[in-house]
Amino acid sequence: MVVDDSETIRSVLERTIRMTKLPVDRILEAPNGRVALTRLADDWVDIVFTDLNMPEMNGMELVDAMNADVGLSDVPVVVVSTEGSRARIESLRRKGIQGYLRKPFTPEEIRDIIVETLGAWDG
Amino acid sequence: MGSRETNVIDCAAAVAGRILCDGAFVFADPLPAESTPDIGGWEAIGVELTFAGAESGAVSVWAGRRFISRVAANMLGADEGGERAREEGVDALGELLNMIVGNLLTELYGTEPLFNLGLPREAKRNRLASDLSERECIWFEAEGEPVLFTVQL
Repeated sequence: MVVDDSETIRSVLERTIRMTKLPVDRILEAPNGRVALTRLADDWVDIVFTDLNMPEMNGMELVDAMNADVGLSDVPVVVVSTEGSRARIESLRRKGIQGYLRKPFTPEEIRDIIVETLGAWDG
Repeated sequence: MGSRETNVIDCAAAVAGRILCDGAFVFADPLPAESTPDIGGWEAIGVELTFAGAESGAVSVWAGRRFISRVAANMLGADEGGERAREEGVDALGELLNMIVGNLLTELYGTEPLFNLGLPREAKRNRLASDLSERECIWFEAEGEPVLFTVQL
């Protein structure tokens, strides 16, 4: 799942994920944390990529909500943001995110974080 | 211009150029003052992003429709003249600005201070004149088009 209020970034991230040539089935999208939670209630995902700064429910709130939900707390979350504050990034890591990528990201960074988080795939 | 203002402008110019390249695959060069467009006739669209925290301020970007479509097309892998690039152009420009401001704040202040970035918002056309007169301005030429960044700290 890709969570970002920018439709452009959702498209870029989706395209970048597919460029990695990793076996990807569906990529779900959400424009904010609240919609992401609604969709996660109906669909299982292997990994969530989320921005931080979003209206209605931001990325930090999404991480907190997923951690509080026994059905979602084990879903790995990777934050993709322009955030540069060391304190904020450390706070996110203490909440258990799997990774943090700074925008603009490269296909190699996306691929590496997926492989690192979900393990290597054959082919 | 004092040394702090010079440092901010130099830093903003470097970051903007890098993000235009890395984020939108657009190469930008400084645009000499004598080559900047006549503002009255420039059909520019602007996006602004404010920030607060250890310091507060705003950064805006102004560009013409053709450049904005090019940026969107590059980022989306879409046809530059296509409907998708036109429709998502302002969103793409806003996201570029988001990346520029986030990286600029780190370059200027390091990773210790906390900042809260607002969401990119399209600026009213009549803001361009006040931006030019009240803020630090950085002009680029990118893909043959003028692009203006204004910085207020």
